[in-house]
This record gives sequence, structure tokens and C-alpha cells, in this order.
Amino acid sequence: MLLLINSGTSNLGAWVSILNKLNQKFILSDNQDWNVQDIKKIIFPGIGHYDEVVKNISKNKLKEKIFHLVQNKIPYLGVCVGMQILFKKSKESKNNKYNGLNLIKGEVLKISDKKIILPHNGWNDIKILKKNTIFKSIRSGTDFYFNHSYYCKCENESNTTSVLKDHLKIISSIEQDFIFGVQFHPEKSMTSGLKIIKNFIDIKC
Amino acid sequence: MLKKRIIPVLLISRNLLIKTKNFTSDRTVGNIIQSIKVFNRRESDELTIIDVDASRGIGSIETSLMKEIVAECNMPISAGGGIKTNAEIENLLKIGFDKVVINNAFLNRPSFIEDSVKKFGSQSITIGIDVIRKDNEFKIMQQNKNKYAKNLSAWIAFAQNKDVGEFFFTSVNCEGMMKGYDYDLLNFIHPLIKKPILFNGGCKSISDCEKILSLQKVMGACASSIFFFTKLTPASIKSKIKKNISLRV
Amino acid sequence: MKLCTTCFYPNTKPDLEFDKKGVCSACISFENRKKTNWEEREKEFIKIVTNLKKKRTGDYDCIIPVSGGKDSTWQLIKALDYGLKPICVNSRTCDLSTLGRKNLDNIRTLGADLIEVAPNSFVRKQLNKIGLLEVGDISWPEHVAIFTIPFNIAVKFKVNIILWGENSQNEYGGPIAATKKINLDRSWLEEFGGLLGLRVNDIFNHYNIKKQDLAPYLYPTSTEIKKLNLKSMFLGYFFPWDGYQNAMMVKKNGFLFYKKLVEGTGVSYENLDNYQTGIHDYFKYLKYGFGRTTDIMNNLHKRNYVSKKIAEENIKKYDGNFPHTYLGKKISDILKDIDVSMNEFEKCCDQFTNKKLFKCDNEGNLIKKNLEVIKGS
Repeated sequence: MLLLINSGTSNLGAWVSILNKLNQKFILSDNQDWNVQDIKKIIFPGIGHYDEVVKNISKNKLKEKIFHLVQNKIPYLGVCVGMQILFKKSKESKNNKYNGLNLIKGEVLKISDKKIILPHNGWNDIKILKKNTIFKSIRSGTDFYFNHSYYCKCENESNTTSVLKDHLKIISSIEQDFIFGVQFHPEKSMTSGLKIIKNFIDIKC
Repeated sequence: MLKKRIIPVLLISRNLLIKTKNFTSDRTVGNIIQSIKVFNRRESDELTIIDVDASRGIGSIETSLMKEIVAECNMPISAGGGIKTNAEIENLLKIGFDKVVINNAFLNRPSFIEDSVKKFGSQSITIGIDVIRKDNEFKIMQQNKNKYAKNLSAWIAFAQNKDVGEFFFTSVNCEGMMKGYDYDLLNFIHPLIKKPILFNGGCKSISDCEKILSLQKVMGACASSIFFFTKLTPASIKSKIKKNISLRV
Repeated sequence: MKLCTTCFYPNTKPDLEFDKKGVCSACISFENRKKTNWEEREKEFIKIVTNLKKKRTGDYDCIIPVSGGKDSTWQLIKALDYGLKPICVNSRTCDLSTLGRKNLDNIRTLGADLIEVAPNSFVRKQLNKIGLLEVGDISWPEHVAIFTIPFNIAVKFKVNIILWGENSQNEYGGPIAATKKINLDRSWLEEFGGLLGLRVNDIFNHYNIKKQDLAPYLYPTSTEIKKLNLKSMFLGYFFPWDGYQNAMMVKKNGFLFYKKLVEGTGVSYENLDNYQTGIHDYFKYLKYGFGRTTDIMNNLHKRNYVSKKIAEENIKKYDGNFPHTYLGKKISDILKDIDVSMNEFEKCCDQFTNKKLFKCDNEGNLIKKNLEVIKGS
């Protein structure tokens, strides 16, 4: 069963549509009827403030459950803020009150590239540094849809799998074991985005 | 490189796709779902959906229809039409919209800008400004108000200060006329704005799109009538201007 | 949904305009006919015909696009009456009925040459399926073909006049400026040709159909049109259009009516050539709340062939009926031909239904929500 996280602020409806179209069965995290042992994959959609998202998933021990699942190598796809909460802290956070999952070493910073007007919103092309599972049949130079003002910085360079082609410091995707994070929105990136989602769904557990 | 966008704008009234001229003379174009499917099939960069009834103060955005629309879209999509509260924004984002366009609610309650940006992030909040030319001046059109109270430059500065994501300008004089964009308006606002501009109203040709997208801060060329009443499609426009404008093709 | 104060058209009908008294542009156009000097118009037509005959360089004076239906048969008879030598051009319909075939063959017996352009049916069926599932119109390729093919033939045969029937914007209501138009050109096609926003270049750009397979659906270039000095005219501009009179006239000239009332229409002389028409009309009903019977009854009532009461009764009885059959052919067979299952079809119906106009009862039957008539000021 695929667990679709309802973080309270995400564009959940878009993910429900896509998973239905792909005939992928899933269960929403705020549905009462699921057990940790039934979950074979997790998708954490994006959109929302880091603090708000962490606050929401801290209810009903969801944060612990996600942590536990990921520790047990259940494949995880985090989108936008769903990727950012993999890190311990974010500069978006006010007073540093809320801590993320702390599963990947690094931090979340505000984009300070003078050539990027914030928010970084629109279609931009990526440079793939590491051809991994979710990038199967995706080429460097493909455009994806971005909408964010913060980006992730990994302590370990090997975690970075792609960056913005014209702004190499801005990470567009990361990976660690079975954890996959994308800064862009595959659910809004038409054919290329659908490929990413399918590639993730096709991962054999 | 961040790509510029061709953005079809779809107006809805009574669950039907309509087109207006200068914001009146509603003309039923057809079924909204068929249009959405066509634009999705065309791999459009983005769509903007405006519930015209709601924006005129008649009811609020039809959420069940919006759900059907999102279900057909795999690209970024914005919703607008009489949005007044954070609860409405939250509901629209949850349905699957990426951004909301807010116009009159911001004019009536300027503190709502900061409020909504704080809660949802500037990336989800687009400010809509409808501009009409009267007595040789650009005035902001406000729903249900005869006076043009706000000063355009001051309003732009205020909204920018409160960190809205993007500006969505519509020229009332040019809207629906297919006689060209309002270049005077664009030249007036361009130097004042530090954020991305989406420009709407009057697009008549491929060269119109090219002209406005050549300006640095214009990130989106918005159009409606040309896609319903002429042979132009977003792809046919892009194929002709991709040499000079950075576009997703 | 609100109705016109003088007819049965609703304000959901695309392109229909209403005046301050709530009268629709179809009614306004019809009223304007009384003010039209039809004698002058006829004289204009005779002048054009004389000119055409003088300037003719090829074998034909003009092209008449024909379906073999009552209107195009009438157009041919009219043209022959005025001494024209036309070439009739038929764009093969999607699913030609037995009756349609007979009526098309009748065209030749009236004394005119007929070219039938029948595009690749494999491609056509794919286009029917795309039209149905993408824009809720199984007849999408037909709308394109009936306007494009005559232009392509005009260019190839170097015939520089095409004589169409009625201006649908005038007959069925449209923006006032469009109702007065005399010419049918590319911009008319794009705006009013029923393309529903889907363009032919969308098909070869985004579906698995090659551009070369869509040749019959591609409009000639503007250079070709200009070189030929091609003009296109509505006969309905020169003669007061009356579909019922057309039917009565052509019946005396070999045209065959259907043995019963055609499903969803209330009459036996309308749309006899294409089995898929029932599905097309049904989707119009789902999207806009009115169907083919409304169009027909409006036209009959305006001309006093039926009373308002009978018109209303017929609309109630026949409008928007689910097309279990059309001209006797079962819907499952019609859909099987284009590789669409009943399940897919039903899902498609749901998707294109305007939920503001309809709801479902407990048994899944479609129910129209309340209507109001626009009150006059």
C-alpha cells in the first residue's frame, strides 16, 4: 500500500488525481485504517510553510511513523517541502521551533542567487548528476515545474542527484538509499513529471 | 534557465466557458471540461481559471467543478474569482491548484496580502490588478465601486512590499478585443515592478506574445480569445518565437 | 438556465446573444427577415450568377458542398434552377447510413456531377474517438472535414466559388455581427465551425496520428486561396431559409424521408446520413441543456408550422433522449466501430455533463434542474 501524506497544506487533490489515473492504490495518512506494516511506499506532496508542515505531521505520531518506515528502507518520495522536511532545520522556520525528520544531513536555505527573482516559479531545466531510478528515461535539460523560495543543501555531495542547469548551487533532487527528494513538482510537470512518478511507483520493494 | 510562459486564461460562468469584451458582453464559448482537456493535451505551460460570477460578487468559486478541472490537468494551474479568506485559499490549494489570484479582496482589505502570504508562502499568492484607462490615466478597477480609489503605482509598491508572488495584470480596455496588448500600460508598470509579471488582455497575434515576453520581467503572456476563436494554439505561437524567447518546447 | 422569451433556446447555448427584452439573436435574425428586401437579394444573386457564367474558365461555375441531406439537395436544385453548372462535393460522413447513401446517390439523378471525398476510415475512426473522449464531440472530424474538403477541392479543380446553405449563426443564433455575414472563410471556420477549441495541428502534435494522414482535414494555405480568388457564400443570404420547405421540395425530387421519427428529433427528415449523429446531439444536451429537437421545433414554431404548445410537447418528449439507437442502429454497434466501450462512453457522458443543469436520481437517470424564463424589462 502506498501512503500519501496529508500535510494539511499540500495540493493533495492533484496527487489523488494522478494516482487514480495511474491506477495506483493508496491510503491517505489521516485515514484511520492503516498500519505501519502495510506500507510499502510513501509520497509526501509539497506546498506549504516548513513550520506548518512539521507541526501538522507531528500530530497523531505521523512523524514517528514516517521516520520508522524510512529507517526500514521503505521507498520515500518527498516533493518540494516534502523533500525539505527530510532535513533537520530550515531557514524558513521561525524561531527554529520545529525540527524536520533529520534523515539527511544538510540544511534548507533561502535562495540568494541574484539572478533568481523569488519565488523561483516556473519551468526550469535540470542537469542530472547521478542517473538514478527515478530519472530512468529522463534526460538532462528536461524542464520541470518549480515553485519555491528555499532549497536544500546536502552535507554529503553524493546525495545530490540533479541541480538547476544554469544555477548549479540550487539542488533540484536528492537521494539517499531509498529516499528520493525532488524540489520541483512532478505532478505538475506533464509527461516528464509523470515519468518520475511512474519510475518511483515501479520501484520493487 | 527559467522559461517564459504562454498562459491560456479560461473564464467560467454558470459552469460554462465564456469570453467577455472589456469585462462585459458575456459570450458562451462552450463546455469547460473540453477546453481543459485540449489545453492539457497541448502540454500548456500553465492555465489560469477565473470564476467570473464569483469575481462579480455572485456566490463563490464552484469547488466541485474546480475538482473536475484539476483532475484533468497535469500542469500548473491558478484559480481566481472572489477569493476573500484564507480558508478559501487553503481549500483551493488542497483541491490541487498551485496558486490563487486575488484582486478585490486585497483592495478591500490590504492586510489580507500579508496574512495570506504568511500562511501559504508568496509562491502561492498572485495579485490580480485590472486596469482601465480613464481621462488619460491608468486607474485600478474595483468591483462594485465607481470611484477609482487606489493609485496604481502606490498599490504596486504596497503589494510588492508585502511579498506577493506574481502580478497578474489585465487591461480592461483591451480585454477580449484581439487588437493587441496594452503596451502603454505595460511600459508604465514594467519599471515599477521587481516581481514576475503575467500580462493579460487583447492578445491578437504571435508577435504580440513575442513583444511582451521580450521584456525582462514579463514571465507570462496570457491570452483567451485567440485560443477560442482563431487557429492559434500555444504550440503554434511557441514554435514561431522560440528562437528569441526562452520557452519550454 | 434561462430561456429566450420568444423561443426555447437557453442562455447556455454557445455564441447566442440576448437583447434587453430577453429575445435571442436567432429570433432577432428571423424577425429581421421581414425587413429584408428579398427581391433585391434575389437580383443580387442573379447578377452574381451571370457574372460567374461569363467568367467561367473551367468546367464548373461553382462548388456546392453536399451531404445528400434535405438542405444540400435543395441548394443544388436552386443552383440548377438559376442556370448554374455546379460540381457537388461530398465529404464522406463518419458512419454513412443506408438511407444517407441512397439520398447521396439521388444528387446525381438531379443533373449534377458529384465528387465524393472519403478520407481513410481507419484515421477517421481514431478522430471520432479522440473527438468524443477529448472534447465530447464524436463528430469533431466531420465538422472539420465538411468545411475543409470543399476548399481543398476548389483549389485542386480551380473553381473559385463555393455556395453554402444557411449561415448557421443566422439560422440558429450567434453574435449579431456574425449573423449578418455573407462569407464563410477560414476565420468563420475557426470561430463557428464547431471545433470546440481542438485544432487539426493539435492532432498531429499531440496524438499518434501523422500530419500526412490528416491531409483531407488541412485547410488550404492562404496563398492558394488568394491565388484562386476563392469566394464562399451563403445561399441563405439571398433566399429566406426554411428547412421544412426545403424538405417538402426535395421530397418531390427523389429525396427519401426516414420511415419513422428520427430518434431525438421529433421529425423524419432531419440528419439522415450519419449513424453517429444521435451521440453528437446527446452530448450537446449534456453540455448545454438542449438538443436537436429544440433546434427543429424552434424553426418550425417561428414559421408557424407548429404551435408553441406542440413544440413544447415535442421538446419534452424527444429532446435529449439517450441515443439507444439512431436510425435504428444500436449505440453499442456504433461505439464498437470506433473502439469505445459502453463503460468508457458512460464515463465520458458524466464528464461532459454540466452539473449545474442536471443531477442524477437514485437510479442514475438524468434530471434537468429548474428552468426560468427571462423576464422582460
